[in-house]
Amino acid sequence: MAEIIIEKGGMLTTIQDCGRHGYQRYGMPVSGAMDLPALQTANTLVGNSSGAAALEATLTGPEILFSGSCESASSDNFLQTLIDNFHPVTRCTIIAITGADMQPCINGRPIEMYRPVKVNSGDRLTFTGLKNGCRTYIAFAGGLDVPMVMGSRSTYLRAKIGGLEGRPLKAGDVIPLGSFTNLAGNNSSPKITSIIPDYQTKRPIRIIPGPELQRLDFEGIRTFLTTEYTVSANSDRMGLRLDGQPIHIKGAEGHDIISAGVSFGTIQLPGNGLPIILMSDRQTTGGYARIANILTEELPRVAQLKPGDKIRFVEYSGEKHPKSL
Amino acid sequence: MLKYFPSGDSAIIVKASDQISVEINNTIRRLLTRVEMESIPGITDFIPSYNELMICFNPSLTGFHKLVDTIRSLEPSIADIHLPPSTLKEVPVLYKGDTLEEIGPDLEDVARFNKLSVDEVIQIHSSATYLVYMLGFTPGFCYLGGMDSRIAMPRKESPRLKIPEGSVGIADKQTGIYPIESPGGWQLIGQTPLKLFNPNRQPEFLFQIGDTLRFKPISENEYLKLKQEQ
Repeated sequence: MAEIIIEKGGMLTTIQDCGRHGYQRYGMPVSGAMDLPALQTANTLVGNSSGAAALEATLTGPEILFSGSCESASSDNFLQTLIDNFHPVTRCTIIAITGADMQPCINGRPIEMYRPVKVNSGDRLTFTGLKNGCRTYIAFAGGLDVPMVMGSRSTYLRAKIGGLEGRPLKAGDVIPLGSFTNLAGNNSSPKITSIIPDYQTKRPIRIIPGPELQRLDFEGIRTFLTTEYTVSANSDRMGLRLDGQPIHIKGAEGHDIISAGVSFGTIQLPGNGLPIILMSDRQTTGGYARIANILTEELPRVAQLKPGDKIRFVEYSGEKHPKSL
Repeated sequence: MLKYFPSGDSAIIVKASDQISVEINNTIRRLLTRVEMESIPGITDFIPSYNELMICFNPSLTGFHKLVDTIRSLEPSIADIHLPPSTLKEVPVLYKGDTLEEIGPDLEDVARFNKLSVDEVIQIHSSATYLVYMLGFTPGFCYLGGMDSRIAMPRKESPRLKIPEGSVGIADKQTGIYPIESPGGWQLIGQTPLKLFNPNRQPEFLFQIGDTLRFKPISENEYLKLKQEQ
């Protein structure tokens, strides 16, 4: 059986999949990967279904030792079996790394991101350091075999559920890998550059006006759409807090609303006038004005912002633009 | 009349009013029941609240305008939805312990603030019937309506970093139960041995929107016994 042994946890490494859906009416957050397309791409590259459980590493990567052998190693192919018998390595799994570039290495030698990499028992995955972005995804052929909790393997830290005992990974953790049959992972396959997102672009993030945007006056809207905000150190998987020019709210209605639903990418405006972008571990409902929502396809770029990074907003004016009715 | 707002390109907000009332909340529950009867493709989740229903969807499978058209066509039949009678559920609460000193640390403050005795606070809190308007904040947290304003008290000036699961609290004219350990500023007046949320139990959540709750004072012995059974 193949497994991974965590030798260093990194700053915040958790097990995530596409999230826990269907329980929001009970106040259960969705959780799941912050950068969903990055998780899905990593899974696809190793031959998993796109929503298999993988690792999300934050700012600093973990150190992982591979152990055991994948079940598909006993090949029907006679010559391959012969080679395997003479070759003193045991194939452990196939991995793919996507999202933020933390400069991954196997046994100290750099490996490419966005392509499947075969790893053997005894190999060690390390990360030299963050070059760009904030969150890196590591998928393993067969997926991380941790128990399903309410339809998902995603870690939700606040309720201490999902993933591995509902907590971040730490040194000494051992996680079994699921079995797999698809040997799609291939070191020699060409790197598919079209799936690599451009996290670096300085384009403003496109937003759709929210139900309480009309609480802002002209000046407030201008502040919102012209200020370059800075991601606060006080940000986490629940939400990104922004520092910069506060946005004023006009009249008596104020910042508070009757508590109501929020979604991935909702921008709330609390009393201090500084926007909060709600992310994967967001509460299901909130009591602050919902001034806007970020377009789904922009969320990966937001998920890859780290404290100190800059962000600007622009109103989305595309064809699909939904308008209040 | 219902109003429709986009919540980005992955959810719709259907709003019934700007007020909190049992009737408006019932409209939201009827709407939820009616939409669920249709099993509309692309819908991934629902978040009912006091006066709104949020409908989450997969933007690659459906869209705002398509869903608004569908739900508009259901609007005339919403009033016909018969809601099941509200289930009255009892919540056992230890308001003050004999030996357990950590129970209800703010009970005396709430009594002093409202110029009542501790027993009067307990009597008032446990004699009302509370409606679960919605859940949110943390898994299983119920927003309850119906608290007597004679025991109201503002939140603490500096919130506690850790409030144990099962704590029963008061914040202004609201009362509630913390389902999981969390930070918070509510005045804590007691403790229930019930687990409102347990991911390894069926059902995972004890209460749902539309339930009515009543708090029942229990002794320390009953509390310890019930806690063991959880």
